[in-house]
Amino acid sequence: MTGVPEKGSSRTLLNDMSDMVMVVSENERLRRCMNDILSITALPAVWSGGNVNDIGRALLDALSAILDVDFLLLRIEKHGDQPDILERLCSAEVSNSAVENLIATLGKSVGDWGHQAQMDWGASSYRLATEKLGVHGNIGVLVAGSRLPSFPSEQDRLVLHVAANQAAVAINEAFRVREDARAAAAREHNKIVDAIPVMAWSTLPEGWADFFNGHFLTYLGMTAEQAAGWGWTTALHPDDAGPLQSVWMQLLASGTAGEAEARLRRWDGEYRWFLFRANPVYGDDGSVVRWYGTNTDIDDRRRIEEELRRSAALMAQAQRLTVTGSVWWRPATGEIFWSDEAYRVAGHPIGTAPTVEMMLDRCHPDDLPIVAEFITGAVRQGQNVDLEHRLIMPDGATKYVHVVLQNIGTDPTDPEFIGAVADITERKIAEENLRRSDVLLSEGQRISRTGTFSWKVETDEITFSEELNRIFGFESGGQVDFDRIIQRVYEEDLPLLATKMADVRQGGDNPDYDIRLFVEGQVKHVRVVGRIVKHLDGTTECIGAVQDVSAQRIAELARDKLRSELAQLARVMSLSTMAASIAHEVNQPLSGIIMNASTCLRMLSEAPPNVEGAVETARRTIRDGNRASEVIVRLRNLFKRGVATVEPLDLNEAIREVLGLLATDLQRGRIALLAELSNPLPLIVGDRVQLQQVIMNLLRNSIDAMTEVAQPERGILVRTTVENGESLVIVEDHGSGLKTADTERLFDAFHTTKPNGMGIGLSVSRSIIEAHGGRIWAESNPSGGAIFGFSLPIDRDGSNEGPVAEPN
Amino acid sequence: MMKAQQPLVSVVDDDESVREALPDLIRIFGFDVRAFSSAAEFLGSEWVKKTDCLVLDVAMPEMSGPELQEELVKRGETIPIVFITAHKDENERIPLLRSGAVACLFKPFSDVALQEALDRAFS
Repeated sequence: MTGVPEKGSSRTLLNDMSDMVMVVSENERLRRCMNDILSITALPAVWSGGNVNDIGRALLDALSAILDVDFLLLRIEKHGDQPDILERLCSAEVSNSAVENLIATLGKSVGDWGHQAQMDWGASSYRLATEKLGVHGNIGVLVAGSRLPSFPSEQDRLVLHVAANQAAVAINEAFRVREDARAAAAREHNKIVDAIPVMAWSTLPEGWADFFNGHFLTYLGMTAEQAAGWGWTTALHPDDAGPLQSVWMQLLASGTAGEAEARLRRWDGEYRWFLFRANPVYGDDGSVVRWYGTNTDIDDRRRIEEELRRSAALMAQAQRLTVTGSVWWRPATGEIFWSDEAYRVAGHPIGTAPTVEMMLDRCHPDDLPIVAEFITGAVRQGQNVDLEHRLIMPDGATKYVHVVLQNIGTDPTDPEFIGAVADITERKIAEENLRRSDVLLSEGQRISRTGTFSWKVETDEITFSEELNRIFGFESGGQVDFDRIIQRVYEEDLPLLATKMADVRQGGDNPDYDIRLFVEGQVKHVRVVGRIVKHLDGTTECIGAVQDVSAQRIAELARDKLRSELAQLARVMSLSTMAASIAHEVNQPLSGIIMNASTCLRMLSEAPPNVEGAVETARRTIRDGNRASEVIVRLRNLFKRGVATVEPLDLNEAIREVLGLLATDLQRGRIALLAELSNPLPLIVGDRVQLQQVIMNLLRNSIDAMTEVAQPERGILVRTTVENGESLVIVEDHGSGLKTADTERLFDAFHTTKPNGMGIGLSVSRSIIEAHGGRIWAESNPSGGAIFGFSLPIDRDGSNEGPVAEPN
Repeated sequence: MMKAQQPLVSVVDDDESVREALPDLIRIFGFDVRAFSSAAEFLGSEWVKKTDCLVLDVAMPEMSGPELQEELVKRGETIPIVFITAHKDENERIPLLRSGAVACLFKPFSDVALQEALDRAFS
């Protein structure tokens, strides 16, 4: 028993003496026990605030002082971890290995430990006393062992019991305090993690997400359970899920930190861009134990980047389209920046370091002094530059550029310019062309006596061109309105103008019409054309031209007068040439009358009078008188009319009448006339006498042509047909034919092939036919001679509103 | 035998009214008369040789008066001819007279003018 504490030896002595000293009063023992218990119950005051191990050690210290034991053992169950085992060896015979053996003997589970047991170990036998801490020993177990056979006494048991209870309460409290501290720390941690303005997360080594901070979950609108594992990936933008996952897989495989950008869907459905950053945490063996990561909202940055990129593209495009380059220039340092388009405008390869020399060496020699002056002003005084000048490009072409430099520097001695250089060649050329076409237009208007106008129909705003002002006798550049226009319009034509204006107001064009003006005492004839232009803003503009056709009209009037004079002359001519046939026509019955009358007289004066013969001759006289009268009627029809009469008429009938008049001429020329008259022939509208004049003209020409040549067969064919809605009259002969290839000239006035002709007949014929809306032509007859023909439009509706013929 | 009879005047004219009126008048003058409507009809008749005087229209279809005159000359017939014409054209008349016509009368002519012409033919 060497090494036994002094107190122990006194107690051993006491025990040895126990049997002998029974006299030691029960009171003394009780008093000692009470003291022991009191000292144990005072322990909690020492333990307050202490940790579990301190409590355990203090308990064992106190018990070893009170009890006569060889060892003490305190096992404290911990939450989730290995239990703490505290031991106190109070005798030299007891070793650590003995305690370990004891623990092995007792078993792992505290609940199995018996309340009282005996343990043999080596030569010694130990008696054990066990007290559980807490219900079913869930806090721990206190074991005391002694070789004394009396152990444990009732007092020992009591002390152990109280000590175990005290320790249980204290340890429990210590546990609670420790738990509270841990929870507070966790709360504090979570608070921090939740408060940082990034989304934080962690995953297991294989990528299984096991933690999301509140910010992340709030953003996703998910619960931690929903987001756990791979649940959160459902919020990835479909376009980004693949790329992000492949980056993440690479990181997981390589075990290195990395980042990627992807869009995440917010709880409200909006996607925002995030930068995902993942950092691995390594364990002792170098393998990844966890991944920690953050997501940073970079949506605004992405948006700005996108907008920047877009506006840069737009800028470049705009520069390209407007052929305008940007320039930045700091003369003090010689720094110059050109945009790509600036290089293109200047004709230098993109990327060459720009210099002032490069700016000047393209300059047109004539413009160099002024450009150099501006540059000097810019460098020395920081003056702004705004000028247009020419460049000579390497291929010799001339370019016009507009250069603007604006000093944005704050220090006058260190100007800093930003500006633009624009290629304005096209504009310059367009300006030049515009100027030239303006000149051409106004010159053209002057020469053609044509003015133009614009009339904004809604506002009655009217603009006249220079020439139109001249036509109207308005001063140049003055305000034009309808009042002033109406004052100039010939009074009789005002209703016409009103009608035409009303047409325009209703949205109709004005196809050309003629109207008269009264300007400075003179009547002017003008022709007006107006076209409607509908503008995008819904307004209507009438744009038109006004041509002064006075000179033309005067010439037309003169021509009409000449034509009518010619027609008159032709009529006289044809009368004189017809005089013979008229005389013949009239003389024939007249001679009959005279002969019969003479015979009658002589028969009556015979003796005896031949009354029978006289009656016969008188009857013949009357008959011949009637014949003469018929001829007169026909002739009167031909001559009585001075004014053109328009009526529906049958061309066949008109031809038959002419043939009747020409019968003698035909007879005398011994010409066989064949008439192939289409039956029925639709009516045409016209002046019978004028058209008969034309027919007579053609037939007479044919007759004349036949007499000029010795032809065994002298025949004229007159045909009427209907073709393409026109009635055709064709006269074919086998006479001398056309002596010119230019058949049109035949119809010119004073063109003649006849020795005695005046060349008027065909020209008058043409004016008559054209006045009837028809046409007249001549061609060579393939079988010799000539073919003349004319066509007239058929009177379709049978009305009398045919063309008005007025060659007279 | 023929001379014992009245002299024969042949009328050639395509105008029927002339062929009706003229013979009656000539008969009153004391001549025998035959009327033909064309030169061909006359030439083809038996009366060419018997005709003492020809009253001939100038303008006729087929063969005209002057052409008939030429034909007669060709045949050796020397019948005195009195031309009658409705065309009052002096330019036509002169060549006719030059070619041997007795007279050339413009229609309408008087009975006296005709009688004078016939008298001249038979003088």
